[in-house]
Amino acid sequence: MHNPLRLVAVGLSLAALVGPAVAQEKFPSRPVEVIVTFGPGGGADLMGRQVSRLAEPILGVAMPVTNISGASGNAGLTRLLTSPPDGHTVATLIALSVSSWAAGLGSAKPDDFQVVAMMQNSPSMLFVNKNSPFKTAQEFLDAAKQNPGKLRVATSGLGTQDDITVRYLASQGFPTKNVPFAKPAERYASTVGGHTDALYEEPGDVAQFIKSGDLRPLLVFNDERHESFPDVMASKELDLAIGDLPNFRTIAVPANTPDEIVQTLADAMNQVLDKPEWKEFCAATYTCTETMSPEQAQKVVVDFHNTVKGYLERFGQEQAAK
Amino acid sequence: MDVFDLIVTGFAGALQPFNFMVLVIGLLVGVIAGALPGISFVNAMAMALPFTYLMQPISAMAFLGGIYAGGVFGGSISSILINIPGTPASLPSCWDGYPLTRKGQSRRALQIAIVASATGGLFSALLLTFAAPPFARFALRFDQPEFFAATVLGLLSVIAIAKDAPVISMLSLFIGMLIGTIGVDPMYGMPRFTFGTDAMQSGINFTVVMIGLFAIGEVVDLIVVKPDLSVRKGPGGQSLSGRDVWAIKGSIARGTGIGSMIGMIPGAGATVGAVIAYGVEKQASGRGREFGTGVPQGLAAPESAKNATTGAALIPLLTLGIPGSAATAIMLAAMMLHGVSPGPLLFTTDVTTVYTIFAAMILANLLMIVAAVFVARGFSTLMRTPPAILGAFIIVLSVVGAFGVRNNFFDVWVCLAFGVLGYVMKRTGFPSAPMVLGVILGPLAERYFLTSLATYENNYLIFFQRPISATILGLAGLFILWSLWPLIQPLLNGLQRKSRKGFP
Amino acid sequence: MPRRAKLLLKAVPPALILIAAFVLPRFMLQNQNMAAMIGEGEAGPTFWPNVMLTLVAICSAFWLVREVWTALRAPAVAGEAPPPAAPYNWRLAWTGLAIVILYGVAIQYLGFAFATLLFLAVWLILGGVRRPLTVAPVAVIGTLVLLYVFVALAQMPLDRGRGVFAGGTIELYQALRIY
Repeated sequence: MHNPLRLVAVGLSLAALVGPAVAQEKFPSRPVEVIVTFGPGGGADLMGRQVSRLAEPILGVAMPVTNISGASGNAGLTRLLTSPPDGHTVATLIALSVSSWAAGLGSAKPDDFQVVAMMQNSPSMLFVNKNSPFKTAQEFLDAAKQNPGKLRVATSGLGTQDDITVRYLASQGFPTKNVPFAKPAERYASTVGGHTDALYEEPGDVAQFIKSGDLRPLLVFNDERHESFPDVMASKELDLAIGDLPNFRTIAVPANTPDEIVQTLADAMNQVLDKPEWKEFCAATYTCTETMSPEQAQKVVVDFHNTVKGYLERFGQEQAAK
Repeated sequence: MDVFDLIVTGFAGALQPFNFMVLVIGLLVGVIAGALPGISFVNAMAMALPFTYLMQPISAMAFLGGIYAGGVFGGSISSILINIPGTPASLPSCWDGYPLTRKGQSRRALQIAIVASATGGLFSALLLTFAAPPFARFALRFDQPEFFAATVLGLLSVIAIAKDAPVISMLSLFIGMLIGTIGVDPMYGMPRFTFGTDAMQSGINFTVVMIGLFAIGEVVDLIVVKPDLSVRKGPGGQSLSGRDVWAIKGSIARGTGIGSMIGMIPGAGATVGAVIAYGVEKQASGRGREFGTGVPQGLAAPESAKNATTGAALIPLLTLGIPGSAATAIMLAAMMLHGVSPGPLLFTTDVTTVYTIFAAMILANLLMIVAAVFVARGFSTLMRTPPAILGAFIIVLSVVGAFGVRNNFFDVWVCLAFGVLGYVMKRTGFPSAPMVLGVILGPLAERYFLTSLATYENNYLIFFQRPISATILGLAGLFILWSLWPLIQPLLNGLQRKSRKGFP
Repeated sequence: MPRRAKLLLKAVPPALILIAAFVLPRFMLQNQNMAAMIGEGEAGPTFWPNVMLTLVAICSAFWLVREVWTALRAPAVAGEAPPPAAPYNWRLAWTGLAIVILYGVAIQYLGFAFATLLFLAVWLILGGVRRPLTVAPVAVIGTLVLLYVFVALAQMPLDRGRGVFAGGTIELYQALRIY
């Protein structure tokens, strides 16, 4: 097979080929590329790599992971949309990218994608440093009310669900200062080092700091409490209606992918979700979620997009009114 | 357990046949990937990540640690031999390394680089082993203003090392920093200078710019000029002697010290460390005027500094779980995939793993001398191939490397565009190194600047009010005065003479 | 006068950079409405690029003034002819650059495998390696090694080309046992 003559033969046979030979192949017939829309080491990367590792034996082909980072994940998603919709290219589609569309970034929309499976889902939480004077969420909110805009909350950026939550708290009479950090590592270090007063993040990404006690959870932004943190108050208990911004991570393909291929992929992904290795992984990152059909998962993404859009329009009008 | 017991246990773990084998393979992969123009060792680490799935966490870290230590050195091989930096951190090694090659002393230059790199790397691995927790606590006191001050020190070094025409070097640096602002801004998520295209939103990557400016322009020149890059007999063509090494001990010590400090700061540790070390060395060695003509000190200092950042960069990763660079982020991914979370808990729950990683880093730097000698010899032999063949493969590797940074074909176009620009700049004598450093340091400086303001109530004076950042900025000010002293001194003398005339 | 004009030509690059520094701010933000999101007293996303543009403008203005100054003060007649420079084959250099750009285009249409094979061969011929017995093996073996390292081992998603070439690349990879 190392014979260069073989290469020449293939080259010559090109002329004889009529039309792409790819069209009638069965799925999957060659490696399925997993586009991770963020750099190595982050939550989306870990999810993509676990999926690739655990789904390879199920689909029976290699699943190389490709990190395409940039523009809140939109660079990788653009690449997915320009790949042939034959299921041999899949990508991670996460809440942050969806909210970035609502904020006007990129040119993608939920209808461009077909979500294959919901892999991880987790509410966001508010954390403080271990030496923080705030012991409960109520103390934190009271301090925010008394010193408007003085408390600093480390977030991932403006126009994200982090920002929406901070703006929502301000609209309810608890104004804090949003301090955006583009790099997650710097964001965590700033709260762990005591340079910011609180951190908005999903628990899985800061699990090691929660376990070591360097970060203390104060509040879950959800309607009910988190089963792993039964002592931490849910936002609804404080009459804050901001439980509709979950941090989900899905696997998606372009919208015009044939249904049977979507179904094959969805079956494989749902088998991954049932594997003990995955159960261990999602428990350690507090992101276990119920199994969903592609249609259900698609609906979560569409609803999330509409929710974020609604919030941003509301804040935009409020700002314009001032 | 006592620290020394832990170290013994660590070495026992690292010397297990399989761990040792993957460490050596990692080193070779790292040195080769680093030395190939276009392919950066960060690329190689990302490609190696799937191979670590099947390994034990310790083996995975030994493998990646080997690639990391070897790769940071390897980048200098192509800097020295063909004036194309293999990694951004090896950029300063071009300035005095390649002139040595042009004098026929490439063997000596490579030996200086190996000795300096291994010393720097070894020292920082020892620092990691014996002083990680206190240094980590110290590093946590650094906030955004301190990071900004350190980046400013790096930017000022770029200006200080400008050989001639400081205004044009500054212009090149500022254009680079402007290129660095292209794309989505780090705080507001707003696209800038994208001219309505989606591709530009991801910004311009510095590795891609570096490959374009240096590799493509250089290769095109290679087929036209056909320079003589072989080792020549005669004075200086011989190997390095013990006395030669003794002569550069001060440079290695200064470089190592600078690298170990800078390495703990997240961001572009190795590059910033190497640039500052070169700038300081130019002043401290006493041979500043000759720098850029092939001075051993000018090669040894940045070489030791960039490898001294390798161990130091692992301090925040292992003790806090905070990766400061792309390379350490990949190591974090490898550990997390095995269910090992680096951070404060690791030192209590899994202390043997920690010390095995320490031992592996020490071994990696010792073994690097052997690996580097072999690979450097191999690459020196490769230099005998006709320039056309060499150049053809450098261009293919550049295209693959530019693509591989983010697996984005747009980056290939950016690389080729900068290739044409780099060629024009090379022929007209417009300096390209400050531009690359601007693309690297500009976005860091902006991010730290904006986040500092957001954290401290838009107070523009915060950088001078916090003690650590004020100290670093003060040092930066002194440093720039020191480097511009030759320009200032005659002015002052002139003033004195005038005043003496006025008041007899 | 022609000498002075030639010297003035050297002032064109700084002049162009200076003009760019004044024109570019218009293209900074895609839509100005976005600026409404910036809070009061904040530096905002335009602060840093504006500082850089100002610094670029200052440096290029300084350079421009210096070039014009030297051009105007230069004696109208050249004192000494500059030493003849070594002949430099500009045509070869620009052909080389054009081929490198074409290689980028070719990757997208022919795919990485076929484009690289072609590029290696063309570059060798351009660089003076003309013996078919050298060109063919270097190009073929070189391409194979690159394919095994980057497509098989490193699993990089390099372009497979369009149309017939996509099919051809996949068949080639299957023949080489990469897929």
